[in-house]
Amino acid sequence: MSLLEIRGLGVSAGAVPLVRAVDLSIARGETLCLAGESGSGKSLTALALMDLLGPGLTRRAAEARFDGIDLLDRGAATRLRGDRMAMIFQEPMTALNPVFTIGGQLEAVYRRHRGGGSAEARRRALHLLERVGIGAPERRLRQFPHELSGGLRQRAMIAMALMCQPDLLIADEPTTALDVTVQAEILRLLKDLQNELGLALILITHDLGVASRMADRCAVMYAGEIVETADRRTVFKAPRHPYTQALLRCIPVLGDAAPGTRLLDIPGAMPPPGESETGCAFRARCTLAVEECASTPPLKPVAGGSARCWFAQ
Amino acid sequence: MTALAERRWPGAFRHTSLVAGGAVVLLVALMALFAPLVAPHDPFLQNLDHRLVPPVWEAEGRWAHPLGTDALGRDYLSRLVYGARISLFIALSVGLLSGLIGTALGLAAGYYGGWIDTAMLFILTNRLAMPGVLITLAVVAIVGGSLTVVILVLGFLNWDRFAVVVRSAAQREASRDYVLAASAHGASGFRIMLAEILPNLMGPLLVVLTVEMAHAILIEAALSFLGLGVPPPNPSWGLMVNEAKDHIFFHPWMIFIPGIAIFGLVLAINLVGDGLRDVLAPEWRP
Repeated sequence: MSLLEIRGLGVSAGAVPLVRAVDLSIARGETLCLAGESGSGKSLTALALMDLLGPGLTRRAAEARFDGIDLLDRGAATRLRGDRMAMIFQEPMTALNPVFTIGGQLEAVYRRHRGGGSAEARRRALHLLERVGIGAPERRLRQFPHELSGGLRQRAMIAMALMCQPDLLIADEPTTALDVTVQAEILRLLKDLQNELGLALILITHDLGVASRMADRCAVMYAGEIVETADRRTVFKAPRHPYTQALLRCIPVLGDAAPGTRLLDIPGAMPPPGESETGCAFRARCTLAVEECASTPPLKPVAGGSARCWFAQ
Repeated sequence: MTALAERRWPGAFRHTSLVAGGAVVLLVALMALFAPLVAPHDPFLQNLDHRLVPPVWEAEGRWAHPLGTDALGRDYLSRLVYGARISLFIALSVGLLSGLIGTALGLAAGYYGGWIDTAMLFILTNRLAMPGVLITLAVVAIVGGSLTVVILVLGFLNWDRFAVVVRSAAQREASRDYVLAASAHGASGFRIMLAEILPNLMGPLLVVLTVEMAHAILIEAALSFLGLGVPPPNPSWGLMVNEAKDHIFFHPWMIFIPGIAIFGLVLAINLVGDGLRDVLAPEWRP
C-alpha cells in the first residue's frame, strides 16, 4: 500500500490553471523524482501536497491520502506538517530564521509536535546534527544561520526536517543552490538517511543527472501536467514521451560531439499558463505532432509506466 | 539580512552620534533613577526667603542652589532632576503603549494582507486625519490634565508611525523563505507572526521607538507649558518653562535651563535613534 496517494491534483491562480490533473503515489522507502523545467509546476505540486500554497492560489484534488489520513481536511494536513511530512527548500541561505540559533530552531520544531522538555529536544537536535554530518554539533547548536556555509545550512535544514521522524520528506531542489561537490554530499546524505529511516522521498529537480542518480521512479512534468511517469530505467533508457526523449537528447555527453557542433536544444518555449486549454501542451514543439494532438491525450499505460502521448506504446 | 543576528553591535561603539546621544540619555536616565540621591534639596520645598536666587555663574549665585531657585524658592536643580523622571516616564510609557498598538496593527496587516490590511489602512487614514494636538487639548480640557491622561491620550494617538513601518517590514519578511519553511514545519500563522517575523523587526521597531519617545517628551512639555499637561506642583520641564515665562526679561536663565534640558534630551534621543538606524536597520536610511 502506498504511503501517499494523490489523484486529480490541480492548482490554479484564479481561473488560470497552473497544475492540472496530477496523480502521484509513493510508497515507504521509495524515491520519486519530479523532474521538469522551470515553470512546469513541480514546486507548486509539492507546495499543494503540503497545503502551503501562497495567497491567490487554490488547490483542488479528487483524492489526497497520506497513510489513510485525508489531506483535503486542512486541520489534518496542518497536524501532519513538520511531524510526519517534512519539507526542505532550495535556498538554505534564506530558509532559516536569521535571528535564532540553529539549536533553537531545531528544538522549536520538536517541542511543537512532541512537547517534552528542552533537554530531550536538545538531545535529539544534537543527535541529528551529528547524523547529517555536521562537525562540532555542540558549537553549531549555539550558532546563528549566517555563521554557517550553504552546505552546512542545508544539512541543518535536513536535520530540522527529520526532528520528528517524518515518513515523507519533500525536497524541493535541495542542491540547486549549492556547488557541485557539496551537492553530491547532500544527495548521498539524503540517500543514506532514506535507507536508514525508511523515508519516502519526493525529490524535485530540474537536473536529470540528479534524477537518474536518486530516483526509483520518475515523473516528468511539462506545462503543469505529468507527461510521463515510469521507473528510472524506463525513463532514462526507453522514454515514451517525445518531451522526455527530447530532454535526454539535450544532455551533452563528454567527448561525444565533435568540436564546433552545436549542442541540441528543444526549439520553442513552454506555453504560458492558461494558453493551451485543450490538446497536448507539447505539440507546438514536438517533431511527431499531427492533427490528432489537438485533442488532449490521456495518461496512457505503457510498459514500465505511463505517458501522456497519442504515440506512446 | 537582519541586523540583530548579524551582531553589528561592535560597530555601534564606533558610531559617534550613537555614543554621544547614548551617553546623554544614560546620564539623564541615571539622574532620574537616583533622583533622591542626586538632588540637593526637596523639589517641592518652598523657601520664600530665597526666591529667585540666580544660578552660580551669576554674581549673586551661591553653591547652595547651583541652578538657583524659582519664584517660590524651590531649588531649580532638584526640580530639574525630578523633572527628568516625568519626561522619561512619559517617553517610555507612551512609547510602549503606542508601540504595542501600532505593532499589533502593522503586523496583522502586513502578514495577513487582504481585508485585514484594508481595514488597518482605513483606521490609519482616520487616525492621520485627526489633528493630534487638538484632540489632546480637547481631551485634557474635558477630563482634566494629569500624568495618566497625557500618557493615555498620547499613547492612543501616536501609533501611526509604528503601524506604517511594521506593516511594510512585515510584508517584506512574510515573503521570505524562512516563513514558508516555518509553516512547512507545522507552525501556525499566529505563531509565525509573533515568533518568527516579529523578532526580525526589532531593528526598525527600536528606531521608531526612539523617534516616538522624543516626540512624546516634546508634546508633554508643550502641554505642560500650556497648563494642560502635568499639573503643578509637579516638576515637569514644560511646567517649569511655563512658570518661568513671567520672569523672562529679568531672569532669562529660568527659561533657558529647563529649555536646554528638553532640547538636550530630545536631541540625544534622536541621535540614538539615528545611530540605531545606521547600525540595526540601514535599509531604512533616508
